[in-house]
Amino acid sequence: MLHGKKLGILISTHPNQPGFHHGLGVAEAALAEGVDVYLYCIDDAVKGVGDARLQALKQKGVKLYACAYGAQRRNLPLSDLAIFAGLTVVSDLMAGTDRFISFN
Amino acid sequence: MKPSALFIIRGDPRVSHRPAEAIRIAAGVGTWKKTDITVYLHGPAVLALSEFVDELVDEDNYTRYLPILGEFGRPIYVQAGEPCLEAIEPATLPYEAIDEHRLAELAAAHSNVIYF
Repeated sequence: MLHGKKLGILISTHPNQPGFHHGLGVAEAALAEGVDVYLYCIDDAVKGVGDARLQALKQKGVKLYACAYGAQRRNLPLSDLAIFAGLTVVSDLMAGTDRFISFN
Repeated sequence: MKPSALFIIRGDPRVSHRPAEAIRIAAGVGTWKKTDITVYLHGPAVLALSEFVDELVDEDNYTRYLPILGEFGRPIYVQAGEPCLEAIEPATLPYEAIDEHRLAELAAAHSNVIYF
């Protein structure tokens, strides 16, 4: 029933905050149901792109994006841990997914 | 039908960068015109509309991105009765003070509600 649906997730909280892990939990559950998951880390969440659980989700098929501006402001290197992008991707996720949720 | 997003922005911009970041995101997403953006400022976040943003964290976001929100053709909504409203006159953008009932109506009318 959910297979092939698209879910957009925006996370802005620091990886040591509950919201970050709630977001990952939703991504995990959606992925298990066959949902296409697009996850964008913004603001303090960019510090969590290397999080082991998040990287495992990426390996399982989550399309992982991170805010290039947020990383730059925090002196975090742009790497292949995520696709570093701008707000146009957030705009596309809001407009192009079946459901868009945020954890802030 | 075009999706819509209501940004509910909280926090004190005098001590937190998050209201400024939320303004940046709302403006940056709305610029692409794929989603209709509405902004509601709650509590001290109404100070974002002050003419004097030099004491706010990440003040550049207010001077750079608030005018973009003003181009979206709808007022900025603010929390009615918020004491900080007295400190924002003259406001840099038109705003409308609304109560919680009206906020609930707004939230129900949008496809996405994003709390910051």
